[in-house]
Amino acid sequence: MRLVTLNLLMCNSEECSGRNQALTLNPGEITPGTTQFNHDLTIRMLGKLDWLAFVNAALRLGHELPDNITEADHQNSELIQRIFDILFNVEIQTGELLCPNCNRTYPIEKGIPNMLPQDH
Amino acid sequence: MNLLKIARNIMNTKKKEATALKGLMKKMQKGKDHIMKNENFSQYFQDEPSADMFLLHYSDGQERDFSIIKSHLSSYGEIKNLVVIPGINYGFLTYSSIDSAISAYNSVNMPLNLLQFPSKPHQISLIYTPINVRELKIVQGCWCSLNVPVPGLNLEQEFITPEEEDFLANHIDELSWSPLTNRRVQQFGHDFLQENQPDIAIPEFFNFILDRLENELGIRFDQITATEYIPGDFIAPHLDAHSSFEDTIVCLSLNSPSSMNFRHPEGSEFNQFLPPRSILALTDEARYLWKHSVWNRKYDIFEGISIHRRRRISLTFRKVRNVRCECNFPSVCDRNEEKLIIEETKDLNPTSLEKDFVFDTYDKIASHFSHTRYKPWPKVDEFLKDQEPFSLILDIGCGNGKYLYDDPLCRIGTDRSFKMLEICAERGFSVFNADCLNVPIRSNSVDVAIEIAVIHHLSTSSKRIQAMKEILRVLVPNGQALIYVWAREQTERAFTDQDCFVPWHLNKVYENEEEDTKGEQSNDPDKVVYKRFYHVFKQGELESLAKEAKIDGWKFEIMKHYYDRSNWCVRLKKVKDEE
Repeated sequence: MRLVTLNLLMCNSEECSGRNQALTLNPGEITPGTTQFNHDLTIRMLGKLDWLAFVNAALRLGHELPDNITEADHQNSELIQRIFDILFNVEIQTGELLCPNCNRTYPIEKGIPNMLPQDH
Repeated sequence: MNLLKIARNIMNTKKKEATALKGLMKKMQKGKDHIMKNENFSQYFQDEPSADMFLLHYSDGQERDFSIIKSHLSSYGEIKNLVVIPGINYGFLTYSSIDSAISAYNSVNMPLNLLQFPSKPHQISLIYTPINVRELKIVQGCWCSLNVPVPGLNLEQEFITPEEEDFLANHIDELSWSPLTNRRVQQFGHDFLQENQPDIAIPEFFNFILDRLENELGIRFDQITATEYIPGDFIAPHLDAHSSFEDTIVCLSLNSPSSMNFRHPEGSEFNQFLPPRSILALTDEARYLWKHSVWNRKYDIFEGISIHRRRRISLTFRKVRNVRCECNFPSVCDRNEEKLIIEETKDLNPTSLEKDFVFDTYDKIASHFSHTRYKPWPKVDEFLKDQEPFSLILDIGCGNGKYLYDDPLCRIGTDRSFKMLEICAERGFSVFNADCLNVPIRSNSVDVAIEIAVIHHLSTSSKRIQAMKEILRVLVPNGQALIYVWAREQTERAFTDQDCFVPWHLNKVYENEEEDTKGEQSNDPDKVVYKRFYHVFKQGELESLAKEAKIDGWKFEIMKHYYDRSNWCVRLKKVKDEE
């Protein structure tokens, strides 16, 4: 799973329904990706990200990012490249996702987070 | 006339002839090139005379052209084969004797020997060939005969008179046709496409034919399907469900010849020629075991001569079955298929039906499925490529990820089956395991969603609506979705009920040896059968579902609905619900 996907995910427990509740990443095994940098794609993604959730997830992987991102930052090619790499060139193979609201955990195995309700 | 004038006339004629010859040579070369492009022989043409000849007719090969060509060529002798195909500028000609061939060759190829074609008078050309007409690629599969060796199949010619033929066709055309995807139909008596609908009375104009059939076959048929075939219309290979109708099924052809293909499960096949006004009765093996179909050709070849199809009305007479089928062909009989009765509830939790016959089945067949489902469907692909660059696309029910492949950065997939997702992850796609009724994706976050062949696996209408609502929720305002579900009205399969099982024949090499198989032994010893649950959609059902799905002031606008590859499809847009 890449961080772009994680950023779209939310807790889907009954308790968190309607909250768009972001999940906290506890990474296990991580592999690097080899995707070629794409500036326009990154800019387009910036508009879609839940930035705060992204900053938190990046921090879990040891990458520090600014709390805010402005139009002016779009010209900062070093920063944009870094954002691209965090979004697309980190493959989370194992680990878990934790919901800070209801405490539910979702395991990640073989690069796939399991978001199915656990009783089924 | 003085000599000078005569000489000038001769010269002019010669000049005209020379120009005509030059033009003809050029056209002939083009025709030859076309033949060599289409066919595959080591030697196509020869100079020494032969009874077999390529025919370059330089026309579009329609029926009116064919009759002009035929009447002209018949004047040179008895014709054994004559093939003229709509849309193909070459054909084939064989005379019974080589002498006729030579005289035709010498006369037809003479410059300025024009044939009066309706478009424009022009010349045709003949070329001697060592090839036999049966070897031609363009006509393969087009040969049909009157008496094919299928046990239980019986053709009777001129079962009705031309007057009776007109009478029936005119009365049927006065009633309204319902369009299917590849043809139009009318149902009388029991309507098996519309479950739980009262029977439609059989109009009185059919009485004489029902009486005649009863006299001849001892059966009073109570279900009639009229089908209109415009040249090129087709019906895919199928068996009429054993449990729906009794043994004998009769097909009466009106207004045009055609042919019907019969295929044995072990592979042998034959083309039965259907002259107009003939009846074809299928009993026993022909009715129960051999699949029949009409190919999408515009002509057939019967006794060596191509015959153009025209608009044909086919009348199928059946008798509705009220008792269990006891045929001797259990491998293809649906008598043991349990009728699924599904209770409509508001409960959205998976039922054992869905667990056993959707979730488990897809996990079981994942790798085999993946080997057979690698090609994106063109119309889905087109929809995805139509989106703005870098649109974020969510594929719900992504399977092996065939729609993630093109742009793995902006496309994210989810599926119920972990086994399917493993295939995606190995291919480098970003995916997550979830249920389409509870998609763990933030609201208003994806630009585009697709859900291809997914919703038909949900057993109740509340679940199907919930799946639509989830798509609506995750889309950004004005975001678009494309949904495909299996159509009940498809020509590839016949369904007796909307809720049903569809078998997946899994080769045993794909079975995991450590696990006990849950599949049933197939007729093929190398295969096991896994059943998949389907709710096949009626025309219009998907649109009403889309209209019903509303959430927090948002609804779907239906941008387009269509039929594609056995599926009903809708293209939707998330818009404000002003009501």
